[in-house]
Amino acid sequence: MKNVLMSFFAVAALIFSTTAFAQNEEGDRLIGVWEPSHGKAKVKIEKIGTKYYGKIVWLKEPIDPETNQPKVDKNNPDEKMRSTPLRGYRILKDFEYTDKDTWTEGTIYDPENGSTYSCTIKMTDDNTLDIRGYIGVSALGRTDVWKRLQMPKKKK
Amino acid sequence: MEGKKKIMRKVYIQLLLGVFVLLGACTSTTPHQTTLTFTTSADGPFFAGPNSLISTYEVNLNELVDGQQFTADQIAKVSVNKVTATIPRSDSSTVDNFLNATLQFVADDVPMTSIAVKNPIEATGNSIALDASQEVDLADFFKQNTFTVLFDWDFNEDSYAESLGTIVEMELTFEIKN
Amino acid sequence: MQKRIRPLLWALLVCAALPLFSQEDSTYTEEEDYSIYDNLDYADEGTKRFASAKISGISPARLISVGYDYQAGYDITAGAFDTYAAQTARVNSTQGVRIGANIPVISKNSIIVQLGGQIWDMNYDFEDDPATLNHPLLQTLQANNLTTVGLNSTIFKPLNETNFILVQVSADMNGDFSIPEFQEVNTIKNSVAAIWGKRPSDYKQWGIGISRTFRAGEMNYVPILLFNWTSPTTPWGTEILFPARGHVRYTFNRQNMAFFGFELEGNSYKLAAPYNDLQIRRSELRFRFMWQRQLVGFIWVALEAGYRINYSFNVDRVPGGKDFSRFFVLDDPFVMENALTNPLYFNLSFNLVSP
Repeated sequence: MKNVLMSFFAVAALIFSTTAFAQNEEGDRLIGVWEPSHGKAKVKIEKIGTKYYGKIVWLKEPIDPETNQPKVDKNNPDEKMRSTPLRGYRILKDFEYTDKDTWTEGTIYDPENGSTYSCTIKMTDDNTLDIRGYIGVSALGRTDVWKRLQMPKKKK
Repeated sequence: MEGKKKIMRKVYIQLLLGVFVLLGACTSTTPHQTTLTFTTSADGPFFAGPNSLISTYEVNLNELVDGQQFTADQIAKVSVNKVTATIPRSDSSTVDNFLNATLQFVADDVPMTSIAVKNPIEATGNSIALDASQEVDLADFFKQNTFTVLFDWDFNEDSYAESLGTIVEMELTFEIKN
Repeated sequence: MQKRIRPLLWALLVCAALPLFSQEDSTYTEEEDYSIYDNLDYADEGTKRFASAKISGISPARLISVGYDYQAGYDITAGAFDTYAAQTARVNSTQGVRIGANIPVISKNSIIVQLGGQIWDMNYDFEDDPATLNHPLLQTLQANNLTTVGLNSTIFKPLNETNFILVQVSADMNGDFSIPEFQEVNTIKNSVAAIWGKRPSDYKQWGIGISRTFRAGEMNYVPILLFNWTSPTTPWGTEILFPARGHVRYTFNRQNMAFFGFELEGNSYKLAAPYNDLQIRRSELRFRFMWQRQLVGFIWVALEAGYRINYSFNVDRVPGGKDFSRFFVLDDPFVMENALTNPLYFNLSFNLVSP
């Protein structure tokens, strides 16, 4: 009886760990460099801990014409944080892989106006994301299409 | 669905806080100052641009504030007074190797929070003070078992150092419910 | 030179650092040279880029708006009509609630479709004793409010990275009716505007078009000019959709901005029996100062103050709701020619915005 129970647990554990692993693998497809439809920035999505974050790694217009300095987060509602540089800024935060091809729980920040929107990411194919930012309810939102950029082959 | 729950939870927390303020000192809190240090590091080489140094912090409530015992539920607010970043002498880098620096906390059940920034870095030597957010509340992080400290240095040029460490020292005020 | 040496240095370093790499935390991606992001190819065919509906620095769109509009006192002279002589009366105030919604139902970078609605109430508060108001126009204004119930839709269709088409359609029921007793469907006023535009940069969009509009009271076909612009280096900008509205914008910050300009506001209001065929061609030019700022989150407050200049309050006979334009029937006289003096006006609204 003990043996049967043991093997049951072993099989259960194996199934659980493989699904968890598969879940991880599937979720990690989000990792990479992406370009929003406006083409003004490139965003690198990476995983920190168990969640996914996207930071600006390239700006089409890196210099603020007003100050002639590299762009900073000048619209941040928190005055002390307005000197945060936009290059390196994590605009996608806290995404979790929750459903098939879907990452939720996250937010997207628009440095143009200092607003943070609720956000869901849907991968429509391996190289395309539908990024929907919304206010409160998903109906009050806007979807943007992001395309994956090809990283050069690693020099390892 | 969970996201909405989180937002709703936030709203509820804010409403609740509002009610507390209105009722005035229904639950009084006592402020306790404390200094915590986080040793962040990353392996090189480092390319010009922002590079992240990380450290995982295990929360031990008994060690947060000297001589104070409290539970996670008792933490009402954790505000940031001062943040400094120091590069150990053993690392050859100095702060003038970097254009700017940012500090963020990350945890499984708490949204990523930006805590402090220094941009541009005009100092020299191995230590800088960052401008800390006046609004940020880190209470939720100290209610977790662990959280991640993320310190970004923006390298002004490529660095071939094998590794880089930075000690982040934070002066915090814990508001503890009596 | 440095660029050329870099790969060699890399090769050496990577070899030396191989044992280090193997220890790396797999959940964290390795750092890389930021210059590689300068020229990256799409993993498959690139996204087709479309002009954005907004420009940098433009004021946030109002998704839901609840406001209160107040015109201070003025004189109204109702012109001679039928057997009635002209009569002048004093209006203490014209005020009412204005509710509007404009919700994106499809919002992608390739097309945006918004559906909206509005309810406006205009209550005419007369100083004169109602018993002294003999003129039927004054009587109905005194007894009934003017109400507008409307539906509208805006479609923004970018053609490519710079060109776009903007179409607005609306259907309004206006008159001295009260909800829920609506008017006949054939009195609904349909307005259409179509614009072809260009967005040459993040800081500018312009367009030209044509509209069928009741903003001048009666139906008109008028050309439209769109010109939204934000100065990249100063806090100034413009938000112009001529002739409907035109403003100069001053941005204190992205959550706090001021405007100075005008709005041409108007519609055609059907009167109730026994004057079923009559419609008030209300049109007014509002020169105004407007201040809007964030209250909390996506809720903003807007405060408007200005001078309301009457353009038309004349009455036309529109049998069976069959509209006409003086553009084609130039000498068609009004049934009643009315005059209004011009008061100050104020408007306060709370808006759920999409910045």
